[in-house]
Amino acid sequence: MTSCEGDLRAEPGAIGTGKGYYLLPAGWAIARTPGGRRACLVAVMDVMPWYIPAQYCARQGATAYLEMWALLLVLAGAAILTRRTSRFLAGTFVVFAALTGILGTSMFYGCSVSAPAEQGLGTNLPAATYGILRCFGHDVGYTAYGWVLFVLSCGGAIALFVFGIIRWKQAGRALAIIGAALLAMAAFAVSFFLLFAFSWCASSRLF
Amino acid sequence: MIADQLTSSVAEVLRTNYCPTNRTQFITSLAGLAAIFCAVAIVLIARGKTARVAGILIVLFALGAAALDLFGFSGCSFRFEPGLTWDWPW
Repeated sequence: MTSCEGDLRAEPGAIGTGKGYYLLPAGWAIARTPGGRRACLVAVMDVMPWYIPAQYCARQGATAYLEMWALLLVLAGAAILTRRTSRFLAGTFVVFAALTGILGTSMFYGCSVSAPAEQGLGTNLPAATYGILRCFGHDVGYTAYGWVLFVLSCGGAIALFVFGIIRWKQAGRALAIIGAALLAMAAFAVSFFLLFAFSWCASSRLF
Repeated sequence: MIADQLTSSVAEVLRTNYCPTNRTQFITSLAGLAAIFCAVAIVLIARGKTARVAGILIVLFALGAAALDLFGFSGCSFRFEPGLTWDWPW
């Protein structure tokens, strides 16, 4: 008996029917080569390869991930362009860009990890970890849209406030501060809805 | 490596959901979008500093979008699930 290399892939359901496969303990099986002359020791795939759910999630949430990617690039560009005008603004843009990257990666990872389990396959993850990852990957369109609104509101509020204080005077400054306050309130409202949706998902309530 | 029945069937579901109904149309749309982005980027990069930064960002966006789309598209089997399709690369 040797170990097989390459394309010894069973037809769907072949293991259960025992067609040329003999299950061994610890995730191994003895299988015959396509010619049937040799017996091989092969690993039984009981865990989904990472790329199948990852490709599924890339297709399912393509719009959301493209929105996040576009937002990250816009924030990076804004940080580059404002680094001489205001270090504070540039730093804020860098922080938001980093948070966008982290959230987008978490959404993609959460979806990839939870997709097989959502279709009925078991998972080895602890329930709490799985719940959090599932909620990151759940309804990525809503999360991405909310995050874009939040960042735009925050960025607009900070930019209006900074430029209102530095550049503008009297009426312009007053209008800038009022606009910044309104945008800050909008950002607060959006963040509330985002956190509420995440908490609702994590609490596993149906209604 | 051999796969058990449940894993195989779940993998098949994941390979058929959100796949394009017409592969040629999908690839053509993606190539068309990439061409438009590249044309806009070339025009912008030839101009001032702010426009150059915008052009470079557009190129980066196009590269990332194409990579994501092709990665997702490469996982599709030759079937698709009606109602769960992905006909445009966004």
